Amino acid sequence: MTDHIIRVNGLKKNYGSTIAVDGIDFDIERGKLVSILGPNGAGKTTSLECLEGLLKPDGGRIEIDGKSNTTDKKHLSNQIGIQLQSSALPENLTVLEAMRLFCSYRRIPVRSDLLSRFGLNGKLNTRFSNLSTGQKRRLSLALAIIHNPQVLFLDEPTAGLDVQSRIELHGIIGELKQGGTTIILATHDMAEAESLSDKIIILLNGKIVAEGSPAEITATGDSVSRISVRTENRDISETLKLLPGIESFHLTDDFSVLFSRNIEETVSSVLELIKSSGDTLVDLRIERPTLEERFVEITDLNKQTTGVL
Amino acid sequence: MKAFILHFAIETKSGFRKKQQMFLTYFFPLGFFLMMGAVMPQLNPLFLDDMIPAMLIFAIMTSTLLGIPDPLVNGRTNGIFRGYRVNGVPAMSLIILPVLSSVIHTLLVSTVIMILSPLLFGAPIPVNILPAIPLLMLTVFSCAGLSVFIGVISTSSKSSMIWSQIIFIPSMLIGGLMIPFQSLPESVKPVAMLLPSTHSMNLFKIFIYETEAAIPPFVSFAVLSGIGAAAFILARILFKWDNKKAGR
Repeated sequence: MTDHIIRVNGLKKNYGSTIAVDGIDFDIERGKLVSILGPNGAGKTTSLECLEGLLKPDGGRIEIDGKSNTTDKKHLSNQIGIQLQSSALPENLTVLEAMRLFCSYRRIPVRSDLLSRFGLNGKLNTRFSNLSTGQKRRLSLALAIIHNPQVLFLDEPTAGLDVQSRIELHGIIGELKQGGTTIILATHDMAEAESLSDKIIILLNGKIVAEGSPAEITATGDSVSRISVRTENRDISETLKLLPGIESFHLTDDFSVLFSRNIEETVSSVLELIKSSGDTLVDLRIERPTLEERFVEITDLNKQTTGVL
Repeated sequence: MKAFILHFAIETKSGFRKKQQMFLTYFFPLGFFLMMGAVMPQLNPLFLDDMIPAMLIFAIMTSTLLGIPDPLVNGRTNGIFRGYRVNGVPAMSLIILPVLSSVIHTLLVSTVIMILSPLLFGAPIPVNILPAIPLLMLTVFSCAGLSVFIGVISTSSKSSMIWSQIIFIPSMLIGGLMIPFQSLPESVKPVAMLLPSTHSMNLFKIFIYETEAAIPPFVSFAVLSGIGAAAFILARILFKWDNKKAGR
């Protein structure tokens, strides 16, 4: 039986006459990393804040580890950790003071191990304002998990970070997941969501428009796949574009690039053609639509059908 | 409680690292005190009689009215309070701590003023020193209550500054610091009666210099306590963790 740590049923939230979240349902399995995606105004931050207990829903029910998150706040506080997108610490507070302060409010011993694990040991007496963006994020993440929460909410954790800092933070997120923490990630970074997530939920106008693993989401789209072929003798290039199912074709310096919706059929045809023409295959690359392309497709489709984005 | 005490210790300690707080709590009031001490006795010899309470109240007002609201506004707008909220810090801590921290800083400044006024400028030494401490506390309570209230209701640093000045400037002009309450025009006295500084000056003069009461002391006690209590209660009710508009 699947162990769901989060259950959301009919979640609704309005701001005046604006419907921010429109009766959404989803479950999250324990130990999984789930990304919530959507354009600005889709309802992802509102949904997250309802899950985190920061906003009171106007309807529906949210259960975290079997208990309602609106009635049992103390239980919720012990079960979840939150790294907010728009939060900061007082600029004069040092790293060690911040750790001591929040551990004290959580009534737990100071977690020096986390400062060490997140590479902040050399910054104990550095003021928050003097930390780099990456160090601030790592400190924020360390503070969010001082009480070993079962569920961790991350809102745009890598926004504005350089490549190295992103890789470091992805590594930490991966470690937390391996340690059994359930992670809910809100992000605009499709590559990040695709590489880290077990499940993706795409919100649009307060409703879930797609849900599944990254592979499932990209597979269900109508986007074309890109097939790049390189042979020893490029005489077959002109014939390639006549193969069935080819939507478009162009030549680059080394490759014939085909676009097709039916990968299996096209690849088989390409291989047969190469064989029958006596040519030799040097390189064959298949690029399925990325999550980003699928995301754009979904949002565009919604724009066309509803006129709203 | 242990967490609150630690938070208080950190807040007070980090206060010494904040340039703005250091300026408003120490440099500005002490600089003003030295300037007034050098200039005012030559213009008005009677100023020395009120110098100690006037400068103590001035120090409290700069530390609270000018020093407390802005960090409260910034705490909301910069997401600091959101960060505190998700990490389990109670709202009451954020309201009370700046006040307690102000008490510590004000006591230090007050000690300096009390010692230097007679030594440097020949101000009369108070007849009773001990009542000065609870009176300082009461004045801080009243001014800090108003300051926290301003910090809670202001949507920006600019608006908090305007609200603070609406209290600070009249307090300087007609709040008994420069001109004794008895010397004010009758038409101005009702306005002066609304200002904490008027009542604080009244009580200081009664209890530390044993001078005649300009206003019955129980009225001044009631006004200072009432303003402080009402302001703190309203601040707690109206407290918001952030300025975030209803986003989606």
